Amino acid sequence: MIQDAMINTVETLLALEIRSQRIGFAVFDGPTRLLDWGIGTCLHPTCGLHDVVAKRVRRLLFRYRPFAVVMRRDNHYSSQTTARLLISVGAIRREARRCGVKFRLLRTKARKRFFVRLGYNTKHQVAQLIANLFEELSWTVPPKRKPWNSESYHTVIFDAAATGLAAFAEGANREAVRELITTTEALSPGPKMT
Amino acid sequence: MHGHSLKNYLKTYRKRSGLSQRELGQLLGYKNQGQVSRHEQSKTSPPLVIALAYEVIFRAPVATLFLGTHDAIRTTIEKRLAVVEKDLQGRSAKGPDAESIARRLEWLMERRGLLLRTGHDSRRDDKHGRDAVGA
Repeated sequence: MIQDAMINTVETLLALEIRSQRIGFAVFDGPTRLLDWGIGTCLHPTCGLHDVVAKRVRRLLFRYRPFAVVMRRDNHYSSQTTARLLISVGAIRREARRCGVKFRLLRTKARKRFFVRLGYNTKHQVAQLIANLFEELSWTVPPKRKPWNSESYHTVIFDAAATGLAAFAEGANREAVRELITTTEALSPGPKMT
Repeated sequence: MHGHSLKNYLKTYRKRSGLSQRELGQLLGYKNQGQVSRHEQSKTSPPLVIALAYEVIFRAPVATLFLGTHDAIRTTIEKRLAVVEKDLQGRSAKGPDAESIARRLEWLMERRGLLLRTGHDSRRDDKHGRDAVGA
């Protein structure tokens, strides 16, 4: 779907999603292209949470040199304690500052509002939309979850990607993101934009 | 800290394909994933045969896979060509080598014109390619 030859680092954005034991990341090259994605663990037998998170983020910052790092501000749906979240956010903020990269926190409500307006109400629908937008993620789409099921391992990547898309849409790329989603909807069945 | 091309896009293409570093290493004829990892991190440059193998595997031109390196080489070469051109223009046009110098200058000018045209055409092709994909 996305032209391979159009490699031109216009706006590289690093989107992060934090859980109690792992970090999901998605590196965007503009709103239409994913450069990298993955999950890293925050557990280490000897290093503290701050150091582990800082090391992981530093590696991504040095490799991709994004113009901004974005993550969710509040994480009410996660079981992790606020203290751990604050440590992780502090580590990421500090690394971003050291590398001269903008650090931005996006409110969970703002992200949810963006996708609800497009007709994607649940996390599963959002994950499917992202899988349609970025074919490379399609094989890791988490299955639809029942309330008594645990969260899928790969969900964290889709959450990071959703944060990234919402951040692009809040910025100057609103029309580009909407156009991208409309084009994708035309090609695949799913909720329609309202 | 932005507005740059990565030295290479091997990791992006590999992850898109779903291959692991070990599998890619095996395809390239390596015993393990070490060399692939070093290529991805730009710690070492792959030899010509391996670079061409990457092109075959990912079906993308070497210049695209190693975009940052390609850009750096192009910039260096263009600077050197400008120096050569300046040197040639500074030489006497009346000597026995006049014809040879004129030929070389002509080639340099042709090359520059071709480069401009190619750049224009490729941008147009890219746009058409994207439109076609979008449609």
